[in-house]
Amino acid sequence: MAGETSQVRRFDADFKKVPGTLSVTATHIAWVPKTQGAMDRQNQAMDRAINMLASKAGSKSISLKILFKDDIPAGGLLFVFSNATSKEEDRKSVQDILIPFVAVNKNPITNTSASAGGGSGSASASNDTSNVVTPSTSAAAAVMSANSRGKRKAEDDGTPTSTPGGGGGGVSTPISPAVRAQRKKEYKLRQKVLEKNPTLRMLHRELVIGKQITEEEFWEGREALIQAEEMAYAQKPGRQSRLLDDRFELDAGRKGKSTGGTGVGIKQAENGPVVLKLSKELTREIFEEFPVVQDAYAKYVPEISETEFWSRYFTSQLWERHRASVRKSAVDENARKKDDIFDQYLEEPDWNIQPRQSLPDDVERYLDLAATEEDHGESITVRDVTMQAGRERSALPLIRRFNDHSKKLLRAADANRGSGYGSGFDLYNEIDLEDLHGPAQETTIALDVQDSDEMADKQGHEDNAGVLTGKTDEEIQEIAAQSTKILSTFTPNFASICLPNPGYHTTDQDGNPVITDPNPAYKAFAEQRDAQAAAFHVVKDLHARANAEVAINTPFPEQLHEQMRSCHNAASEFLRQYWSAILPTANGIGTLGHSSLQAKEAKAIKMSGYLKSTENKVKAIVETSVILGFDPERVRKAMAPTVGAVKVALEREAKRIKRV
Amino acid sequence: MADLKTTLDAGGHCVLEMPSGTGKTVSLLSLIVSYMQFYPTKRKLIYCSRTVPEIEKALAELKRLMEYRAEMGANDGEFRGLGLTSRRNLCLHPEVSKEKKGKMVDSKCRDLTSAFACEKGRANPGSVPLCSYHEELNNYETGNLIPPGIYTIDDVKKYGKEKGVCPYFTIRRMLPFLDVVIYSFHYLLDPKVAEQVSAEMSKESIVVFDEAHNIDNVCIESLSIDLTRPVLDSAARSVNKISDRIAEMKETDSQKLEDEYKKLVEGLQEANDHREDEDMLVSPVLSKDMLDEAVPGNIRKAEHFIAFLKRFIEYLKTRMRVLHVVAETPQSFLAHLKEITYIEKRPLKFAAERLTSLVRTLELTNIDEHYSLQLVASFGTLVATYEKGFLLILEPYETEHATVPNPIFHFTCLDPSLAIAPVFERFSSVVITSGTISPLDMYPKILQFRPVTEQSYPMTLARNAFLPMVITRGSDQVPISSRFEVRNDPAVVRNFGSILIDMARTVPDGVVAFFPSYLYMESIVSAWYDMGILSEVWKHKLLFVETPDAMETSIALRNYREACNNGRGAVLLSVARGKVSEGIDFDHNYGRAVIMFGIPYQYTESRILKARLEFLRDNHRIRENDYLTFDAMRHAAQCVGRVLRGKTDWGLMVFADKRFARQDKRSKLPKWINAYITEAHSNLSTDVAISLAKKFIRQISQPFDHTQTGISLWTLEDIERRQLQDKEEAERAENELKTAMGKNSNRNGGDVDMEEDDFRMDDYDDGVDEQELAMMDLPDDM
Repeated sequence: MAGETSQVRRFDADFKKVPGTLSVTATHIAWVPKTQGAMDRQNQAMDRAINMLASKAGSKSISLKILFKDDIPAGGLLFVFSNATSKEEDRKSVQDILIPFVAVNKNPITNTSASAGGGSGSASASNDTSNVVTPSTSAAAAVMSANSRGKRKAEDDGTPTSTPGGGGGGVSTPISPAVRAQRKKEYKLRQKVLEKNPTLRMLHRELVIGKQITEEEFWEGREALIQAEEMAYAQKPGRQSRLLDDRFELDAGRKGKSTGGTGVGIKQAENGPVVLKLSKELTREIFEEFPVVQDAYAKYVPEISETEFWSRYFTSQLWERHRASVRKSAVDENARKKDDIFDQYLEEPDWNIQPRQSLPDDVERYLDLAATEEDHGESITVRDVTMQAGRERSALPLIRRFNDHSKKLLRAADANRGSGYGSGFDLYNEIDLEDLHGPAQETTIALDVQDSDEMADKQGHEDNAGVLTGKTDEEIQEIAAQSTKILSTFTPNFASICLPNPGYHTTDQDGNPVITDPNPAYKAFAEQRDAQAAAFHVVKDLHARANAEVAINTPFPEQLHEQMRSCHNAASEFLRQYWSAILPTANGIGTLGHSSLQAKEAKAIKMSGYLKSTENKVKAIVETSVILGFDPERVRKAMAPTVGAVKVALEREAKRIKRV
Repeated sequence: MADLKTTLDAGGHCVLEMPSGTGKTVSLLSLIVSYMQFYPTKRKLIYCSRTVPEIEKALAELKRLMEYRAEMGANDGEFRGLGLTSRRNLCLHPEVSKEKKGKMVDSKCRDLTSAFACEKGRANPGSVPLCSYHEELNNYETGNLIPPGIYTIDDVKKYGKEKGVCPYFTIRRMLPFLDVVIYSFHYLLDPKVAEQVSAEMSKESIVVFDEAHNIDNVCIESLSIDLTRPVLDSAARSVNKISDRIAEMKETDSQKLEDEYKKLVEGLQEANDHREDEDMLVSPVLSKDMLDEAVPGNIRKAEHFIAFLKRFIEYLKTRMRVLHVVAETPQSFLAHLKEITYIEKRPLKFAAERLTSLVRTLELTNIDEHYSLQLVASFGTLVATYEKGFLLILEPYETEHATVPNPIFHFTCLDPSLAIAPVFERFSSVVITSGTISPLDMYPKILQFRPVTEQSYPMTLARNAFLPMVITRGSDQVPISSRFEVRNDPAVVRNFGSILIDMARTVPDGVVAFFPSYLYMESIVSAWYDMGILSEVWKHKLLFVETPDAMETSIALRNYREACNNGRGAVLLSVARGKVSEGIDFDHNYGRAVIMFGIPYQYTESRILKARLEFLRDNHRIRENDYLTFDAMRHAAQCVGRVLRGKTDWGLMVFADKRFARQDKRSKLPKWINAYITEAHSNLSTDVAISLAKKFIRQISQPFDHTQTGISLWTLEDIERRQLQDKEEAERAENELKTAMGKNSNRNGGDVDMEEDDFRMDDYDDGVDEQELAMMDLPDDM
């Protein structure tokens, strides 16, 4: 084993027949060729790994294929371990590291036969031609065991894989399995949250992996996120609502395969070999949908093998019936071979007008159609052909099955809640028209204002003042009316403002211009004209300046921007930590149960330490900008809010310390 | 309300269209009840609705109304209101009530409660099983079997359970003493039932047909009889049984037969002195004088009558062997009948009566066995009674392509006015109302009456609460239509399917889809399944489908509603004119969208329909196409109208057929729907429609102030202001008004004014108009 540090482990491995080194870190898996330039380096984030395929135990080459999300790189990466002495162990350790990631990333429920990817070599090759049954019980179990093994391994090793940056402390001390499971779960959840929020992930990477604050500190105050994730995670997918036997989806695109192409259960290639694909879900669904099959299963399975049971079922006429397709069953009813187990369960399709199963009699009166039918007396006329229900006999069992299926789904969803509906049936509720209610009392939401009593008191005093003090309501109304009147009759008279140009000269009575002195009216006019020009300039200036503000600046250089963002992110995180440490919380103690007052105190001091360095950081960025030839003022401005916030916090901290 | 009151005062009939879900039931009830209480001559209200759920709802409304009136200080004292429905829905007997079929319940009940059984049972306790619930009733005072008040059907059942009395007979016996009776159309229209239950109703009664858009079909159905070969066979069997029984009786108790003979000589009236508990068919609208006539001699003797029936059945059987379609008038049928079997018209007319009497004399039990015989007898009676407006059609094959004969002998009524005529004649005021009864002039025409008022009320909406869209093309621009030639075209089927998928994806909670016929729905559902369309739908919503069995469908419906309630969402596939389309509301989250796949035309190849169309054309000058479209559109409107209940409700209405885009189709929709179909929304392709729907849903889901005060909900002040305004105008016309209104209006003049501003009848909540009506009752308040 070539593991050198706890952080990075290296293994000898070939990639595309080029020898190289496979290195696995906490987050990435990378391969570097031994000879420079022989091959492109490969580097993938582990949280993208969705599947691993190992070569069979005992085969010549010990290889491991890792598949990634979205199939990028296409086909995954295939590594062949080349260290002659330890290649098997190498592979195992790589697998162990990867398992948690794969388990998380992979869709938890997959029934592909190739899913069993445990290191034990229980992998099944896809080119198996024998009649292989892989009930997913075993497949799922394999995944589960692989999971748990991965868990155990990761924890036993104390590799930082499990809690990167977790400080490593406490892992060596024995912890009860419950706590360990809890921690594991929490870790998983955190991982998920990070996956969903790229920004948070970046922050996490910067701060936690950059060892600025611990994992625990990072998550403190973010419990809500984890909780939400946990709830989302805890939501189990219900039963699939499709009918069992959907050849359509599964057969989509595969044309021409008609014989036995049931999609779900059994597959028959053209040349004979039959592959049965069956999962736990499928069997459960079949049992639920068709109790007779369960009945048969209970009766016969110890005697005949499970494989045989299912393959016979899927080739039986019963299955053909159960698939309930109108067209199919009509065609090859006779083509199906006889089966002594299942044929005894065959019964006439339920296609009479009266349903076979007896029905309860207690439908709410408002939905009781039978009551109406009876009330009208037996119809003595025959409806015309198109309106006779149930004429298309073959469609009836299908329709019944739809109703039944939907009902089952409904019940399945309701099973946990019990039947809440149906009992308290309100008579008046049915005839009530809500829009005809009188105007309801307005509902107001009381603001939760601190010292609301005081406020109310104050208001109470001020209330007397009203809008205009010392005026009665009538007076106020009058004022209002007057104002309204003025406003409504208001028409701007521009002529009174804008003076006409009277001409420079006054005219005498004959109309001849008097040249001696300028017209006094003209003077007024000139004044106005000048004022207008001045005003125009001012407005134009303002406009230009206003536009200058919104003009698009040259963007920050990428490098600088990155720095600024990082600095800002870190600062705000520190601020968050700081405030959460010193502010009193609802129950008086820290937000996390275990952080006592002392811890908080320590944290506050630590955070203030970090915060103090923020200013320097900003300065450094400004300097960088100078070096880059970028306007440092803009950087300073951009960072001003951050700096300001930090300053506030620091001032407060100084005060607080003084007080203490 | 003003219109309604005018009608009531004038003692005439009226047709009113009020948008669904605007409180029309309560508006009607509140006015009529006040009206009834105001006038000392107690006029009875007969409120007919269509389905049991609707009856129950109307009862609940009435109950609440009376509670409100009591609150407002009106003293209604001995006011009683009950709803009547079949025994099947009311029976409490531990064994009988287990029967699923109404016929079985009726017959079993009769065995336990009929007059002769009771006599025997009381004379000799234990010899004959009796119904304790029925017996218990005798301990109560006649006319006071149940305390005054309003009882819903369930209430009566509960009451019956507590006291151990039979709810059915409680209601039946209370009928003459009730102020309000609510039951289904059939009890008034179907002559077979009407005579029993509605005979005692006074002439002064006010009759309301609610949800009456389908009333003509009910009328026609009630006078039509179809005979099939199995029916005839079973009738022949029961004739044999009865003749055995007669022979037996002759030996043991010939006196009874003699008595009957004597009675029959005197006339049917005595023979059939009405017994409420005899549920054989009773006098299909025979005229009074005929009832008093003596029964023709040749069927007076029991053996003779049986022989007569045998001959008649034989004759019908021979007719059925014919393998080509025959259509003939009753006259020609009778002529042929006489030629072959020497059966005359007159005795045939009495066939049903005679059978009833015979059954009673023989004290037969399990009369449901003889149901077919009853059918045949009433067939005979009807054929012999009516000459005009009827047609006999023999169809040897069910469909055109069928090869195995399955003959049906239709005796079909072509003229709905025949069944409803007695109602119009007997009752002074008949109100016909529905949410979708456009075009209004059609109904008076086909029912042949002259309404005092015809009115269609618009809907006042504070916002556009529904969005009707006409989708004419799929996203691939292929026109969609349920026209017979293209309906099974895969492209059309797929496009219909994609509408469903897209709607299921877009619309929250419940989506209801209607098909034009069962046949089409059943074939399209399997086609969709095979195309994988339904599995797409399943991804978004649960799927429920209407089935032929009513109970099964009810349960599917309940599950559907549950799925809508718990947020899972569901799609219900159902048929226009089917069970679900009538009487089930899909309000609020139960129906956020309704899709009408195709136009619900009737099956135009049907000979009955053809005959009817011909009749309409000849007698009422209604063109075939007009009637067909009218009929289809009222059903379409009825279907889409199901989604809206109240103004806070909202929903999408999707008409998926290219023919909906045509003006002649749309113009037949009710005004309140048609007004909201804009030109832009009347010719959409699926994708555009879906994006419009999305926009609509987003917009409509915004919080909205639903206070209707001032818009459609008027406070007392609003009304008073309006009154003042109207009064000034009215003063001029008042004298004129007085003379028009007759002498009552002098006292009531103020009220008339008050009514007049209620022209927006649909807009009132019970609160407001009740206040006002309470005032009307107690004029001192004013």
